[in-house]
Amino acid sequence: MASHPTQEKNSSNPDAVSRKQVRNQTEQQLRPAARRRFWDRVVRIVVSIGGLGTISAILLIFFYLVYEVLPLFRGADMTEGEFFPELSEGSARLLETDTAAEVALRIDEEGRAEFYDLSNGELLAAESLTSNNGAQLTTIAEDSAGSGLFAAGFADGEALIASWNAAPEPGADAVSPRLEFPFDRQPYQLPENEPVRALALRTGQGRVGIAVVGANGRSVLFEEYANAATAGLVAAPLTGASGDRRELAFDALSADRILLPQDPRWMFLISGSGELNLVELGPEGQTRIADTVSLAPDAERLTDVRLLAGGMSLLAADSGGGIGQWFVVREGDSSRMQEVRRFALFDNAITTIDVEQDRRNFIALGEEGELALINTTAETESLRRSFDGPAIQDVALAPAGDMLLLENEQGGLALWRLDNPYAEFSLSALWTETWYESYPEPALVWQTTAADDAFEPKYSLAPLTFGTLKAALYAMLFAAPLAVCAAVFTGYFMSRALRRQVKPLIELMEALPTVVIGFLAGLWLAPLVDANLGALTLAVLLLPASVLVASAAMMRLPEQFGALLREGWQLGALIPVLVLACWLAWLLAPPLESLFFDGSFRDWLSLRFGLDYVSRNAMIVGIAMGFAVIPAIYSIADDAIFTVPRHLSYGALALGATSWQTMVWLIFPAAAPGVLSALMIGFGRALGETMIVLMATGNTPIMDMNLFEGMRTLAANLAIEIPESEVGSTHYRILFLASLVLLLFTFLINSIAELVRQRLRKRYRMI
Amino acid sequence: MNGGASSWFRSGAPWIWLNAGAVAACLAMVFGLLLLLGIKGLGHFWPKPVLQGTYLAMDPPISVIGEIAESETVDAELLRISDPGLPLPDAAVERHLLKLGNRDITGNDFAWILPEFLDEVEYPERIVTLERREWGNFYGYLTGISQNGEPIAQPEMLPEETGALWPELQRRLDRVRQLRQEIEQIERSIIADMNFGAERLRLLELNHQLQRDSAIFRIAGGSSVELPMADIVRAYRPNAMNWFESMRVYLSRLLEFLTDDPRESYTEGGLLPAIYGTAMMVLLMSVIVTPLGVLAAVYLSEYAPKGWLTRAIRVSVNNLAGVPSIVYGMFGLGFFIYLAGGEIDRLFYSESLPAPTFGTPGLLWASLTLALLTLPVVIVATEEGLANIPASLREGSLALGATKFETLWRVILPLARPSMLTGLILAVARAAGEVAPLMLVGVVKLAPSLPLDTEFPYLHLEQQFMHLGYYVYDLATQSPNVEAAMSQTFAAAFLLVAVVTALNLSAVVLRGRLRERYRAMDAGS
Repeated sequence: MASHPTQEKNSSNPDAVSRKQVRNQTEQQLRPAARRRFWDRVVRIVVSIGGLGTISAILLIFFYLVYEVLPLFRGADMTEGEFFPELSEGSARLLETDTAAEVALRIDEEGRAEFYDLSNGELLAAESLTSNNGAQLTTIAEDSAGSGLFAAGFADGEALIASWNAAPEPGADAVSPRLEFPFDRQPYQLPENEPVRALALRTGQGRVGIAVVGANGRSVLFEEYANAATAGLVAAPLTGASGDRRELAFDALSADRILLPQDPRWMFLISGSGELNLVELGPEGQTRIADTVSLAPDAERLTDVRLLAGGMSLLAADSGGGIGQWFVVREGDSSRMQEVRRFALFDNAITTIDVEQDRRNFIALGEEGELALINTTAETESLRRSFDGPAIQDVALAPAGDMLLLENEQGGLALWRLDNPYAEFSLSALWTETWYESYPEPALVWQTTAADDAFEPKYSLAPLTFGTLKAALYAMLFAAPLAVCAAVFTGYFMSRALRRQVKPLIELMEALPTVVIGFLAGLWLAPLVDANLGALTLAVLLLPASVLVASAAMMRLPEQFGALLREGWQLGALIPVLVLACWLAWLLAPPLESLFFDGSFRDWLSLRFGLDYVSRNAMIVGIAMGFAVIPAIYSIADDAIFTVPRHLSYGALALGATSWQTMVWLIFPAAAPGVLSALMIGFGRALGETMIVLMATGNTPIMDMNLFEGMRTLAANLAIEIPESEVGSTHYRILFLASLVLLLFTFLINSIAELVRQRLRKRYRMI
Repeated sequence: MNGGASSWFRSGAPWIWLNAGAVAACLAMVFGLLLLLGIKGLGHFWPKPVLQGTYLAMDPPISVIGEIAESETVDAELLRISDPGLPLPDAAVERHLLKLGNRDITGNDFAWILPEFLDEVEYPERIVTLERREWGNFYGYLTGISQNGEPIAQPEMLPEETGALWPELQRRLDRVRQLRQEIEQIERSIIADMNFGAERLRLLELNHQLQRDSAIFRIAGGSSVELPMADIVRAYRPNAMNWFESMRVYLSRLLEFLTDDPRESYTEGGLLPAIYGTAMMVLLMSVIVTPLGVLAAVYLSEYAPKGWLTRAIRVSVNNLAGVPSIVYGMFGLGFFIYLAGGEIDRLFYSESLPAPTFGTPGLLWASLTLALLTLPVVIVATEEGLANIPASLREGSLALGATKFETLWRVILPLARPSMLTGLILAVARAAGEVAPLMLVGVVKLAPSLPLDTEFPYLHLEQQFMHLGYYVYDLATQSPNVEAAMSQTFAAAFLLVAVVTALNLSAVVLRGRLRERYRAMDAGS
């Protein structure tokens, strides 16, 4: 079938007669022809599919990187849950879920603790939270470290530390959630037995701290125990533990809220009007008020305060719908409260805020029932939502931030699922200065891991990009002059025969594994330069000078001797000259240094100009990476100069120009686009080089142009951090974003360079 | 004179000379680097003389035995800061890094010393250098040999009279070596077949015999140390050896480097697993990259429609060769390991989850990643070869009635074979020297077993492996004792550079020959 149309066509050919004869002779001879055509077609299809497949496999890299990065730009998703109606009455003092968000605890104003099964809204258990003497609950505060512990204050001046447990009791099958008292109901007692007005609890670092304010607002009790039992998980009584107990008296203070940030030096006392006193808890019982600020803007009142995850930042919500983030900023010896950023969320008052345990996410509930989910560091609003039906009056965020517990004004409870994995990412935080906790001012910082879970990750690509550009720039500073000058010489002045031998030798540099160059740079060159910085500087001056001197000397040689010094000899003679110059520099440097620079050029630099010197610095990287990119630049630049049509130069030479003039005014301008593209390709190579930077610098992500300090580049950062980053996390995807940036940047540079080169080739063809 | 100089300047000759200087500098750097690596790398195996002396800068003076590992000139000021009591000269002073060995006994095996304070320096012929399985080198005088704890020679004898001990030590070390070989053989056969009851016993017996002998040495400072011979790899008296004997030690060390397992936490001994891992990975990569690269190149140059799209694809493929290799590593990690590997695990290895089988870095993924990385190299080289084949040959074949496929198969591809080979060699050279992407997709500091063995399915694609380039990186940056590992690192780096340079040079030569051949063909037609 397949061969039929072709046979028809053949019949009109001039040789159709002979074909016909052949066909008539034997059927068998025709079949091979048909088979041949069949195979031709099969191969065409196979090769096309295979070839296109292979090419798309390589190009897949673009799409895959984009695929990994895209989820970052997605906001949070919320899966609505059903409201279980009329479960509770009144308003809640505490609304919490356990880590798995299976059980909710709600403690109302009377101190009734109710446990609900969040899968069906069933009341699992209820008990009453009272003091040892049966007094009523007056206030309650969660542990600022997010341990699940809370402190309860009562009308008789007692304060208790409690927690709750939703796991089945040993031996029992059914879930029986219950309140627990890890310190055996051992109370903290206010001295005058006045009702507790406010209290705060902080655990962590093997210490338990509690602060209690009495109803008269005059005395504040603060106790801290260096107890080995962290987070109340060990139910050891505090008796016998070494405690730091102090009673503070502040006359003019009526503290309605008290918070204990994670830094044990500070305590926040907040009055109902929104005035915050920053109390410094000095050693040996000394206390003083370090700063006083107003948390709410003028004409607004404070509605809620919470500590953000990590226990450093204070969130202050006000009646104007705004939330301010505050933390302590050190300025020399003094410290002050600083409003770091402000979120204007709603037009009306904010009633409640709740925070996640580890990430800097918080949820805010507006007076009219709107919700907003915010990340403070990245300043992203992942979610905003308002509701029909009964207004929402309380909200709780599960510790992991994956669930949201809502309570409406009719007492209905609902569990909503939250999918908010990339809240810590925003483009602005990636590239602009961000004010991180415990920093004195906004900064560009890359710092992604720490021992602490509640660590604030700092994702700024700026220092890494800066480091990449710095390394590439210094590499180009070293490589560009050498490579271009070498290309000028071999491309124009050198004979073809010699060029054919020399060029592959220089290109051999490209084949050297970068790990070996990195090793030599970091472990051989760095200590060498360390000890001989003066000699190196001197060599930079002496090397060109020695070449000039040598050339002048060789010009003076008698003619017949000059004939011996043909091309190849020039180079051969120059290498010993260069070696000699280096040796001379090494010899002369110490006496010169002691003569002019007080013995050490390096120390002189740091004393005179304040330049810090780190052993594995940008200069080492510049030299090593420059060495690695010289062949790339040289090879292309040499081609560009070599392919300039020769007849152009003949004209100039015939008109009396010297060969150097021809080079400068004719050949080089003609080849300049090619040289430029060579430089671009070299630059692209330097941007992505990993091993050399990894081994020849200290890899600290700092932003400093200093030649004698290190840097961390995007590529090296990938090699360092990706093996440790959790798959699918924000960190992981930001690293993929960094590699996408690297890919696009180098691809773009290479493409432009290629374009320039093709243009040039076309132009030469026309000449 | 002045006129001469200014006309000399005006002629531009100095500038031309400066350009020539740049070429010379580039060449000097290449050769200098190769020379440095060659000297340091190959010198690593040469037995160094061991000096003995009294170091006066300490109080009280101590006697030292060791090799000079390195020398440098330092500013006397710096030394004065660290050691204010020393009467130092004003200017820079030279100091030596002395390798003292005996790390298990003294704790530190390197020390900086100032030659001015080294007294009574001599190179006694009887000093013995021991290379050991653990704790690095050992230096001392042989004073006795004991068997099963019983001395066979009097330890009180003077060093001069213990000459006969030396041949005895060598004899017994030979025995240890033979025992060790036998043990290795049995261990290998135990892995191969499960019926090992009798062999187990024999192994225990051999291991017991291995512990029979030990040698007693007097170290610097005079104390006596007994070392089991089972721990000794090699013993020689460097100061007593002539050139041929040194050469024998040299060759034996070189052989060990190339064919043995590493020891002393991978800072000494052989590189076989790394060489082997590199070769396996490169081989696997070649198997993947060659057919795919040739297929893509044939498609691009023979079948693809000539248009802007094909041109764009060609430029893109070309440019992908310049994309940072770490980006390929990221792709390999994310796409191959987590996506494809995770999927394979879910489908075929679900019983061993959550412990991943293919969803973790391994040989297969490393080879695939490097294949992707080197595909542009192969494609570009092959396409260049295809484009350079004189059109007359193609036209001749087609004119004779051959189909396109036949022309391709019988005429074009055979002619382009050397250019494919060039592409492959360049790809192999690139892959052998590449480290950054491998760090993400399968290379480890220490692989418990080789990826190819006698156990089904013989080739373990999911296993992690060791790599020469990564070995260099690891020794240079992660090793606990960088000074001790420096020399070994140089040797490994030299090996790597030698392999890669040889591959590249062969590609250059091949390409040059090819060009001549095409030119001859073109001229002939």
